[in-house]
Amino acid sequence: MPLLDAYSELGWWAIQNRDGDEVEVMNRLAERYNIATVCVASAEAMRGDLVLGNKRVAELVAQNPKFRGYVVVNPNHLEASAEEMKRYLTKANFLGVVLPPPSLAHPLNSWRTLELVKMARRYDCPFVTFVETSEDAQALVSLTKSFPGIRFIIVPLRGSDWWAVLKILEDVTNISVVVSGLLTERGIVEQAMELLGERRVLWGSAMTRVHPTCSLGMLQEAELTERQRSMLVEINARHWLNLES
Amino acid sequence: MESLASQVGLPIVDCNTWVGFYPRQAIDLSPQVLLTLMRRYGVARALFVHTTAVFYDTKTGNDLAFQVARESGGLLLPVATLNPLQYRGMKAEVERRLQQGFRLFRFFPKWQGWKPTIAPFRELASFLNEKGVPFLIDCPQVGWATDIANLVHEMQVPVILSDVSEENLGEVLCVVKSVSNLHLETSCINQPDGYEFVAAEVGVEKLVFGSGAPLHYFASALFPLLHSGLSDEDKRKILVENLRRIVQA
Repeated sequence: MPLLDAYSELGWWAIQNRDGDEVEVMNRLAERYNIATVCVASAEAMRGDLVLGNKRVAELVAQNPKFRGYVVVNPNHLEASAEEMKRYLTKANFLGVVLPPPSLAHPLNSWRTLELVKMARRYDCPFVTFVETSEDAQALVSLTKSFPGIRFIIVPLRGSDWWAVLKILEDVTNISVVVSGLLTERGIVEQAMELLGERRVLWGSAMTRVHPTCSLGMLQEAELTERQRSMLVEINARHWLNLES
Repeated sequence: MESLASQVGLPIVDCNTWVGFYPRQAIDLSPQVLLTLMRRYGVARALFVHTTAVFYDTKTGNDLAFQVARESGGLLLPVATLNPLQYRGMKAEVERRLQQGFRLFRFFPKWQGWKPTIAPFRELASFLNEKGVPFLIDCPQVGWATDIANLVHEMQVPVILSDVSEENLGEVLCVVKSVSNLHLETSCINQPDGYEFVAAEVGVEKLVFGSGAPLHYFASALFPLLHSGLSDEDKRKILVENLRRIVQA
């Protein structure tokens, strides 16, 4: 079954990455693990230069139809973020917006984040956010109350109280969860399926920061039905990211 | 992919596993779950700590670990947890567990709320060194690896840094490379390239396989190593031989 990777990062900032051609590495890993579509955000845009990082992703997705882009925004740079959204979200090969983790920027219910989501409304695209604490999940729920029509896709990170996060998000139907190698605590895949339902859980490799085998190992080890597995690795991402079959 | 280790004939001994009630999350850490994972992935032995010893009381928890190990028929090997903050009777605890056959000890500064610079830890580490007993110490915070290196560089016993994080891996590699008795437990390495890089940096003899199971998915820890470009000989060292050498020393 060809996989649809809902979240990966272009960039070499983690210590275990080796230097070299990151695009070549992503291509090779996608080929090896049968990943047909890779949705990618720029690590550089999240942690360093917003404009340059997004530009690199734009170049990648323009050259390789296997990749689809997320535009990264930065709540500390509202005007530049608005420009970036305008530049990329009108292009067919960009799917949505990525907010940096709250610890790098601002809480999800802050005035700055609210402004960003308002700006993005006109593009009718999903927001990818990171959740580091259960407070982040609560902040996200309060944010979504102001924007019931927007889809939010959260990526829980290591150290987060993911079970509480899932419980908090259980009844908020415009939020889905990406399980990835960024959080490998046993049970998260099964609990996400149980609490959110099988249509609201997506898979992300989180490469190049983490190797795809970490999350593929999780999926293999998790107690899932074949139907749940196929929804997780492909079908749900198509729905949440508006990708045609 | 799960039978890759057995296909290439690699035995596995996991130095970082858990048993007991996990107070921080609803994850099943029963011995049955651990044994099931071991069977599935061909793990010959798992060295485990008991959560009661980590999060509540060392003596009670180490007793439980001893009992679980005995009931496992030798598949689960107990690691004794120490807590310098409990202080009173800790040296006697070491003596008692040595008499019971424990071969490895472990410290959890983050979970127990202390730092590796505190005096009672220095005292306990020196005592373990006098006894010739190797130990693991969790090291997820920036600065701790340097503190531990400063403490143990004149000791003889092997010391294994475990639960290292993405944030302090660089610091850890720096001290493991320069201090001969320091080793690294591998659950922090999540890339095949990472294994190659770390092995080249500190030497493959310094790496000891640990998964964090059943707290973490076992496959997430194993697959990056199996997919790395290291030779089968090197993988065998990481998966079993380095730990055997440390414990037998």
